Order: sequence, then structure tokens, then C-alpha cells
Amino acid sequence: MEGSSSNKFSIRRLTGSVTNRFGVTALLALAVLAPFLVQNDYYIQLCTEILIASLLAISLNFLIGYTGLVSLGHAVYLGVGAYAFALLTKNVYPSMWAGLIAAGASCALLAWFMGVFCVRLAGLYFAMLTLAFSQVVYTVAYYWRDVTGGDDGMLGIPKPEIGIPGAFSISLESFTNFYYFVLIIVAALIFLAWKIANSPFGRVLQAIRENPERVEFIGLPVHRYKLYAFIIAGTLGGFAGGLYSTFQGYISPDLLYWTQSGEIVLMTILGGMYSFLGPAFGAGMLLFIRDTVLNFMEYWRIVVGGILVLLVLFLPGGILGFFEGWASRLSIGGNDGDDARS
Amino acid sequence: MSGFRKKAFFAGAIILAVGLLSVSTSFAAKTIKIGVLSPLTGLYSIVGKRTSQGINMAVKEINDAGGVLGHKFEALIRDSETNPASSVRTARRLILRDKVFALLGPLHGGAAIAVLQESKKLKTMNFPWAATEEINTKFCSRYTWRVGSSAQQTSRAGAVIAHRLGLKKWATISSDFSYGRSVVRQFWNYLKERDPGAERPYAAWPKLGENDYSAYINKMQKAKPDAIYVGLFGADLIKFMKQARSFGMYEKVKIFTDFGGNHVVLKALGDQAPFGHWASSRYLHNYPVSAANKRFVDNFRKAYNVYPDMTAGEAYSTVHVIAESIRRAGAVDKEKAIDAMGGVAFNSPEGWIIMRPSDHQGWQSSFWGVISKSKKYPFPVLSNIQVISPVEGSHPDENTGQGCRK
Repeated sequence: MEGSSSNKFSIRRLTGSVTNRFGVTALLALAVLAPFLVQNDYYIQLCTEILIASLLAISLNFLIGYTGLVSLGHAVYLGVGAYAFALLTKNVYPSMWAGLIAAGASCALLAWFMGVFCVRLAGLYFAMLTLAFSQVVYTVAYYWRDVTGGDDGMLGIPKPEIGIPGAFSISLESFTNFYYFVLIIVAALIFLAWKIANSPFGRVLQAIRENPERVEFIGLPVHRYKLYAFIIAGTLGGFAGGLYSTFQGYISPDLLYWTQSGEIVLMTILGGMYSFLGPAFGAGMLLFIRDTVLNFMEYWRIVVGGILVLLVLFLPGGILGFFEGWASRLSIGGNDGDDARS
Repeated sequence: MSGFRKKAFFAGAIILAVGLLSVSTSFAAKTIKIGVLSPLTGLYSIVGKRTSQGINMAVKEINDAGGVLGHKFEALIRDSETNPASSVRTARRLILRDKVFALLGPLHGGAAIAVLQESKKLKTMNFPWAATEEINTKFCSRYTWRVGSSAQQTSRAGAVIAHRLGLKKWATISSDFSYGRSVVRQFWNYLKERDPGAERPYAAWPKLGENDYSAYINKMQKAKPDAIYVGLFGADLIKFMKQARSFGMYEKVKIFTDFGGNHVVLKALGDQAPFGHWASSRYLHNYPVSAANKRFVDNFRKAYNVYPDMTAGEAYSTVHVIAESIRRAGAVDKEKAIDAMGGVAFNSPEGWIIMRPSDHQGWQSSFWGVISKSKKYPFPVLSNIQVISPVEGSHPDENTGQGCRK
């Protein structure tokens, strides 16, 4: 991971500047006003997708940025969450809440199971094992045609209406309604993630990232903490998967493929893994670049790849990480109190 | 002061974000935009470029002739990445942002079914390139039409030839997804119907994009069939044929390839093509020898210096059929064009195509021939071409079209 010279700085940044009150209010206001600003159904959809991808990237960052575990299998939660939502709402009971809970719960279980094996390893071995697990799940989804539809995927995943039965209900078929629904869910979950990240528990994770041996000496159960981080990341990823499933209305095993995992890692690095909202920013960047570049050429990955190379060379802290560092240097010493607050 | 700077920074960031999000396109008046999903990258990319060329040529012809009802055609060609999620996303962008009149493609069967559901929801005509039969059976809707041949048309025609040759013992191989399953199902059911004595000791279902077919070929040889029916498509077919050749399959059995008559496949295989074996193509540059086909091939070669393949021919015809439906409707109106689509007839390079109102499928003949070396062309072509009429090749419409009028 990062060299130890930047340790102190990066820990501070995790809870640092963009998460100050003004920044968060501005971001929320922007998110709430977005449908009115873009004025086009397509861009409302793009914003919805960015929100879901943000949640996914932030969930992965619990492992990469906070605990220092590079997972190459995070797409497994996107996929399993998506399939869980689809199977439940299509075959059993068409309820948005039940679907989302199924998505989160199935991923929590899966993450617990995978985590028991994975967290005992570190570095490359951890990365390889997460990759292997996710490919196993991919293969199952691919060949279990009767349940998952195989390579053809599952179609017609509903957007069940929400509300209190008998009292009122809100249809989510309209792009704007659905956008606000996703916004509320994603904002709530990201807030929860932020609370966890800044709790004493979150501090321990960061300590594990910096020096697991020392944490062990202090007497804290490192493996158990890593396992908890793994489950939290998986569960949040599962919720993103459930939302993605109902958003697209269509899913296929591609969601589980390792290239999808790579894309989530890319979002995280692009935005900045030592910044809480960095991965979300990276998700937005990636989807926006893809959308723009695809209009005039099909090789959008070259552009993203080029940006990534430049980034690693010149802005190793990611784009948002860089701006946060820049902003905190502008306001000299202004943020030093932030991380002591929680 | 520092607080002010921080606020200024965020204000700047917000303005930048809003500016980036509200990038909008200007709409030129009097154009009919057609959105095209073409497999420019991925497994099917060998045909992606020709698809685009076929589209561009048709668009140019229509515009050179003065457009349709005073409107010029404009094609927005985008990559489908041979991937359902990307195809759906791009389809949405073409419909919602670019406001296309009709959506063409994609080629991947699963992606096509996903896209047609989306275009149905967003009320835009969709002409998938994919041949899977489910498009005009259970997933058909008012908005789904297909000008190109369906899998049943070519595969049932294949069964007719197979029956004529009296081949009894079969092995089949096809990719494990909707189109691949569809091709083999249609072939096998129709052959069994005509010849109840036919048997199939082995059916292989490799995954789409498989690289190593040796295990399947081994099992195939152990089953000792008289003939094999190959439903693989795109790069998969080329990989399989090369491997089958190295196992000596070309000499041991009769090979029927559903997609193998396509020009780009024959050109890619070159000297390694299975000469003397049967193959089909939904469009052929050397047959029929008609004025329409000659003009199409000559113009295509003049424009791009290559021969048109199956996808080029089908893409070209699709654009012309859309233009014809607008002329018949007498108005540039999405819904009216759909009302006028049933019964549209177009004298395409491959012969007359008539849009059947009941199942939204273009009625057309199917072609099978023997892969041969040619003196006229520097690549293999089909010869001894057998034309199977749509009456024999297509399903009766009570079996299809259940969903089309919804």
C-alpha cells in the first residue's frame, strides 16, 4: 500500500475536509436538485447509476482504503445482491424492501463465509482468494441455467411500488421517483458507513492497515476485526447490487465477472482511496467518462486507462484526495480539529 | 478568509459539476435519427464493422435520393460491446438523450432480448440483429420487428437439406445461450419431424467465448456421428473450425454450419475452410444473381473496398425497410410507422423481404450451399446453392407472434 511517510496525513484525510458540514450540505443539495438541473430522463438515469456505483465503491473502500485489504472479487456482492433481489421479487414476493433486505442479508452471509477463509491471508494471497471465490460464484451463475437463466440472464426484474399497504403507495416507474428513492437509500447507507468509519471500530481498522502486528500486540483480535470489515463491505455491496438489479431491470452473469471487480477497484483508485467520498467521486468520474467517450469512440477504456496512468504517477491520492489536500492547504490548519471530533 | 476560500472552492466545484452534467446535444431539424447498436468490440467484432458499413450505405442512398418525406436520415452508430448491460445502457442513451426514431441491434441474443424490453418500455421500434426465435415468440411486442432471418428460418432450412441427404446420426454443438440453443432446437425438432429415425447421441453446449473445444471434439468423435450441426457464431465458429480441422473432423463427418457461409468467416478461414461441407448465410454476395444484389455489391465495394457480408446485407435492408414504413405511413411518426410496418415489402439484395404482420418477422428465403474454392474470388464461397422458401423455413404464425400485438 502507501509508503509510511504519508500515514499520518492519510489517516487525517479519511475523515477530513470534504466531509465537513458545508461540503456535505452542498453535495446533498446538488444531488437533490440534480433531476431539475439535468432536465433529461437519460441523465437522471445516469445520475441514478452513479449513486448506486458510489455506494458500491465506498463499500469496497472499507477493505482497500480503511483496512488495507485489496479485494479483487468485490463484484461478487454486486452480482449476488442483484440475483437475490431478482429471484425474490420475481419468484416469491414483489416487494422492494423484502428484495433489498434479501440482497443485503445474502451478501452478509456470503461475506461471512468468504471472510472466514480470506481474512487469514494478506496481500497478494488475499487478493487471489477473493478473486477465486468470485469466479466460483460467477461460474455457478453461468451454468445454473434453471435458476439464473445462464448467460441470457434474468429479465423483467420489477420496480415494486413502496408505501404502506392500504394507506398510500408511490410508484417508482418514473425516472425521477426512482432517482429520489435511490438517493434516500444510498445517502442513508453512506451515512451509516461514515459513522462506522469514524467510530473507534473504524480507527482500529485503520490501525490494522498501518501496522497489524502492533494492533495484535495491543491485544485486539486482528482477524476478527478484518472479518467484520469484510462483512460490512459485503453487506453494503449487496445493497448496491439489489438497487442495481431493480434499476436495470435486467441482470446477467457479467455482473459477477472479475473485470467488473476491476472496475470497482478502478473507481476507488480514481477518486482516492484515502478519502471517504473519494470512491464515490471516482464512480461518478468513471461513468461520466464512459458516457462521454462512448459518443465518439468505442475505446473508452483507453481513455480511462490513460487517466489512471497519469493519476498513479502524479496524483497517487486520487482526484478527490488531491483536491482535499489542496483545499486543506488553502485553509491552513483549518481542518486539523476534524478528526478529533468523532 | 480561509472559510471564504473553502466556500469558493466548493462553489467552483459545484458549477463545474453542473456544467459537465448539462452537456446537451443540439437537434438538427428535419432529420430522422436511427440508433444502431453494432458489435464493434468483443466476440462478434468481426462483423461489427460491416454492419456499420451496410447502415451507412443505406443512409447515403436514401439521402442522395432526397430523403424520406423531406427528412434526411442520420445513423448514430454505437458499440454494443457484445454485452447485455452495455447494450441496454447505450440503448437508453440513444432513445432518451438522442431521441432516435428507431433502434437497430444488438446482435448478441441475450442483449437483444434485454434491449427489446427496454425499447418497448420507452416506446421505440427495435430491430434486433439477433436471430434467436424468442424475439418473435414470447418476447415480441408492438415495438419489436426483425428484417433479418430468424434462427428458425436458417436452421429449419438446414434440416430440409440434412433430410434430403439422408444423414441419420447427428452430433450438435452450439453456445449455451438463447440464440445458440434456439439454432439447434429448431434444426433438431424439424429434422425429427421429417425423419423420426434420426438420432443424436451427443449434444455439446460450450459457453459463449470458449477457447478450447478439444474436449467437445473428442466426445463428438467417440459418438461416431454421420454429420455434425454447428450453431456457433462469430469468433467462436472460427476457433472451433480450426480445432476441428486439426482433429481431422473435416474428413470424418459431414459438417453443417449455420453461420459458416458468412463471407467474413470464410475469408478468415481461407485455406482452412471446410471445403465440400454445407453452410448457410442469411445474405450472400454471390447469390441471387439479381440487379439489386449486383448494384449493392458493386456500390459496397466501391465505397469500402471489401465485399459485404451477411450482417452488412441485413443492416442495409433494415434501414430501407424503416424508410419504406415511413413512406407508407405518410408521416414521420413513430407509432404510425409501426402501424404501417406490417406488409412492407422491400426488394432487397437477397430477394424480396415481406414484413409479416402476425409475428413481425421478415419473410424471406434461406440459403444453404457447399463451401468451395472459387476462380472468381480470392476466398472461399458457397456454391451449389439451395434456396429454401419461407413457406418451408418459417414457422406457421400460430406458433409465433403470441406477444406481438401487445
